[in-house]
Amino acid sequence: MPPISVRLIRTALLWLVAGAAIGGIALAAPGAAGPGWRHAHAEIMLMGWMVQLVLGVAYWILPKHAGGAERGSVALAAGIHPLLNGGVVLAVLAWLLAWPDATLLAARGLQCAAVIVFVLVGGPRIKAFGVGRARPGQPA
Amino acid sequence: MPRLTRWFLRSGIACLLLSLALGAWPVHAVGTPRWLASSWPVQLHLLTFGWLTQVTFGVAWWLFPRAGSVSSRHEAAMWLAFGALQAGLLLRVIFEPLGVVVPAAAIALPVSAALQFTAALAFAIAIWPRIRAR
Repeated sequence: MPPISVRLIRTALLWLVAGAAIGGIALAAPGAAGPGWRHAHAEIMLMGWMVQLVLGVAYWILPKHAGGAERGSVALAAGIHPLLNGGVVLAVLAWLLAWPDATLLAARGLQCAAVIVFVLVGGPRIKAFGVGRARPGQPA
Repeated sequence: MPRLTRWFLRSGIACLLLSLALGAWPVHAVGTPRWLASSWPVQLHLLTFGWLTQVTFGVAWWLFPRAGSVSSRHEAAMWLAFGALQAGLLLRVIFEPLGVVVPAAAIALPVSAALQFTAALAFAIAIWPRIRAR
């Protein structure tokens, strides 16, 4: 498993536990936890846990390139983790502390950037197994 | 496919069917019982935790790389995750809608929350050693 996938999947597990804790508090003591807690719970479970796990597993398991960097640019892919988790942290803080809507907008921007980076790196790997990357000057 | 995975997948499919059945009910129709009309959180959690997360747990246990044999401690943690997830969801499915009609029934919800948290934590502990770079 590549180190980038390890980082993404382990962080997803941490978000799973954190999201279950926040959701549990919102369920057990709805009076103590404000409405922002439910939004934070949904944010963590969807983006921090599910989306992050899927991106981590996809980066690991999609067909590799035949030549060159087998999983595409590692430097580019290394940006997925900080962008996605920066977005999740910012959104969770915005929900819990009732920060202005601009914060949520910034959080969504970071999350979108993470997905765009993933598409740039992982997109070309969505192909049949055994199909190599076309070399410059050769037909695909 | 390991036995644990088979149980997670079977239970996940059951949750999916139950969620879809609840979702198919015309909750806004006249005469719909109040407990059923307010069952959407249960429907949502059957879909996300009962189906999506449960299938993820089962498939991860099956497909993530094994470093030698899986220790019995980690397998026990995974069985704990399975049991806690079922018990937590079952309590929620019964007592969350019931709490709308009989407020005293909501007393079971903290137990459900604790069980679901236990399931998430136990899964994380069980699978963590298998997520590592080659």
